[in-house]
Amino acid sequence: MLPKGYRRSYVALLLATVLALVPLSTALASLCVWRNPDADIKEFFGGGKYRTVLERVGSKKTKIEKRIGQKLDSDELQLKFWPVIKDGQRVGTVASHLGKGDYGAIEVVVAIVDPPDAPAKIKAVKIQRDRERYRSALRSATFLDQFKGKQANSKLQVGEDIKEAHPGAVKGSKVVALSVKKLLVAYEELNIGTK
Amino acid sequence: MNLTNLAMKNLRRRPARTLLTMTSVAVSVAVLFSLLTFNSGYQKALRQQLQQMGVHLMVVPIGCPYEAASLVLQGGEIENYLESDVADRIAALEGVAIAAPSLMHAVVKPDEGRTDIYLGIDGRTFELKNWWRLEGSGAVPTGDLLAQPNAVVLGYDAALIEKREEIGEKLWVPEIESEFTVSGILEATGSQDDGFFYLPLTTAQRKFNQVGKITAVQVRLTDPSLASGVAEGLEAMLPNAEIIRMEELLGSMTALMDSARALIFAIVAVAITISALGVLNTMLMSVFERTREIGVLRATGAGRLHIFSLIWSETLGLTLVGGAAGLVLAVVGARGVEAVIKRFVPMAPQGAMTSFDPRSAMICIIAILGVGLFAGIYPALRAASVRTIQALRSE
Repeated sequence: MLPKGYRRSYVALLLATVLALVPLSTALASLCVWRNPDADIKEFFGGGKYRTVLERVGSKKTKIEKRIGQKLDSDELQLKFWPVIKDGQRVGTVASHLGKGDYGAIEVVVAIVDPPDAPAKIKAVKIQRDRERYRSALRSATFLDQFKGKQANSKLQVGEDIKEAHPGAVKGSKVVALSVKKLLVAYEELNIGTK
Repeated sequence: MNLTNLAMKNLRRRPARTLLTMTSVAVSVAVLFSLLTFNSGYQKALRQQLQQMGVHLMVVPIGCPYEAASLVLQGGEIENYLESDVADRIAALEGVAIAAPSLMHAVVKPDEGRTDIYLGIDGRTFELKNWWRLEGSGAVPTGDLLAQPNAVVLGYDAALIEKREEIGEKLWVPEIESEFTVSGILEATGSQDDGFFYLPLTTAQRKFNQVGKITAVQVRLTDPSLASGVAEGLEAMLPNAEIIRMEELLGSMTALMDSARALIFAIVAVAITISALGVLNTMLMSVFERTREIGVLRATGAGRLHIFSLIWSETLGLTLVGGAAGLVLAVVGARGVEAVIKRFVPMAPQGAMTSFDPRSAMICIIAILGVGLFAGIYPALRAASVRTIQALRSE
């Protein structure tokens, strides 16, 4: 049996080790990865550095589901956000989402800005991976620019405030809109702007 | 108060110094244990992975056989091809149970940071990989799954990453502008098979402009001991092909690992030596600081053997507690260490490569006991040789 003083030290040492290993295991929880951080940060914010914020949806699950109007998938119970720092200032946050498209997964990356005294809004949206048949329409500025300035309370409904990318890509367009909605609502509910 | 209690009390008197010394011992032991378990786990996982392939021989186009085999194992693209009929000719040989042809095509997507691997196969591959099961039903997959030219069977990870969950869902392959229908999703195997998209062989040949070509034939023998004889027969029959015996491949990989291991163990030996010197230094300082106290002990009846035992007990306690903490640290951090080491070892197999190995734990305990005994001798002798009168006079 170790003396009392040492017991505390060893428990602390073990705890620190376990905590250091948690990010390694939880990194696998979120399916959607951010594939090109440097290029995207340059495109969205003109450069900067980022850090990772991993948040469990936890007790906010029901509220988020109510606001987006559907259940979260099992891989959405833990979300990653990447606050971007430029010249010592936080200029925004990047998040990614894996949606179920018509012909495969659609990975969406969004840049969110959080201006003072105003709700967070979308700065830019891009598709980082997809297999859709009308992928050029889905990736077009005409379609993606519609999301600029949208907030968590925006409808983000194809056929209402968002026009589909192509008549043959209605489902794909809906998946992108839903991904943006989910990320914005989660950003707001989980107070990512303060983390 | 007995010697053990007195030794523990002495160690407690300098908590920071004791803790730092124990930490250096713990880190050395943790590294030693991790490497020992990782090494045995690596070989075990590699052998398991090769056996799980159900393949005794692999026939690939001429070139570097190990490079070709590693490309097949790791999902790379082989640039040379064999003719399709080679599989039938191999199957006709005595001792061959199954000869399964495949055409591998990799679509590299640097902008997406990923590579999609399409594997053209037929029913023979399902027959060869008879441990594959279908997700949901648990049924054994058969060649019927790929009977339709636009069918695709997804490996477990491929289905997960593409969010295809049900039979009948569509999959578009933009690079060849083709639509496929999911006819099956495989259960996780823990191997590279999980990441592949399986197409009908003839469809893959047509879509990837390799009609009549294949990149490999995987061969299962009726009896693994026939491997050498069949391999010789194949070499004579197929001068433009490389015949790879999986046992040879395993031998080459472990030899590669052994050379890396020698270097790593040299570094660990240095780390253990440094921690032994650290222990020796700590105990020696302790003896110098406690000269007067040792004198008092001697004056009150303690013999030289008692003093020697006391200091030696302290050293052993220091190293054993540190060593035990190191073992705990290694077990707790095993997955993290594995993830890091996997990046550096050649051809790291899928699946777990570290687990608690009692033999390795015993080696570590013996090693650290040796360090404790060795590092404790000089300080203990020094303390035992202190003259009582001089010690009592010292400040």
